[in-house]
Amino acid sequence: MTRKSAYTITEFLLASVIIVLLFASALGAYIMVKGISFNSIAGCNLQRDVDILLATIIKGPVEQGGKAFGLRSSFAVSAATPPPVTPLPAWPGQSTIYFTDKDDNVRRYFLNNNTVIYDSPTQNPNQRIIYTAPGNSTVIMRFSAASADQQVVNVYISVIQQNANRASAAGSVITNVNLRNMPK
Amino acid sequence: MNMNLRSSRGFSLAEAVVSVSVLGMIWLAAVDAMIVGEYSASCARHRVQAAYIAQQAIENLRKIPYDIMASSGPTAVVIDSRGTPDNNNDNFNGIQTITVDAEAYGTYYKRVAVNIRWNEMFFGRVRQVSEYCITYIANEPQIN
Repeated sequence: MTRKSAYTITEFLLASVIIVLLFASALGAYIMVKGISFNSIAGCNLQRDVDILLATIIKGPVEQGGKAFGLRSSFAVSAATPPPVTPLPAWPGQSTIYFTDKDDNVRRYFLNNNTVIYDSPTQNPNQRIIYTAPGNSTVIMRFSAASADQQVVNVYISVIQQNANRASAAGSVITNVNLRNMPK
Repeated sequence: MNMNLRSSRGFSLAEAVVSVSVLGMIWLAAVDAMIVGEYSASCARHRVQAAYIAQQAIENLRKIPYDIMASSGPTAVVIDSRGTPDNNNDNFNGIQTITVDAEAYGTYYKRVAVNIRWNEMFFGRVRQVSEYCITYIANEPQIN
């Protein structure tokens, strides 16, 4: 009869400890799963973002009139306008690149906080955002010369994102772009 | 009557052990599936990064004169696994081999194959992964 009416203090304390341990392990597992899934899903999304951004930088965003001017079709690059007076630095490079395309106009890509901007005198408005990073993320974009004659450009792009539990995910690419010196 | 009394006392030790074991196995299977999923996603990401490194080698080859384009390697390459270019501790170290095959494609084309191998590591598991990129480079600078 006594056993049916209530718990003893020992049983109650024991049950409380077990419940706390169960909740703590469930919470720990939840945080771990959230971190792992964040790394997987956000990592793949960020990798896709930097792939698309790199392709856009190489080919050039399409301007009014349907023409595109990018690094691939240009014949001169520089760290500052007007090219090719100021050479691109060696690694780690800088986050702005000026390039002269076959129409002799100087265009540039540059990083402004977490956005990548394309600046061209032949589009209206001149500046257009071609990539905006997701929240709580850091963008690194670096251009440097991969050959002494500035005809091969090394491009590095990375986007790192953190979630509320400090789990981080990243996407990054590094490659070289050989200027094609397209005939004017 | 005896049955009712026995069941009102709660679970037997054997029942508790079996149920905890079943739950444990389900939990372990779920954790393992998660780890394999993350491993696959991570591996796919690094494959893309390796493909760009291979592209980097191909772009460098396009720059040199066609006649002296030749096989090279193995050389060391790094895969920036965490997007941190200034921290080399989290990189994956790989080996790159470039094979240039001119014989089978006549005077005008060379076949370039870039193979990158690295050890993919995750939760203590190590597995060698390889990315293989092939392209053809023509003996004509304007169309390279």
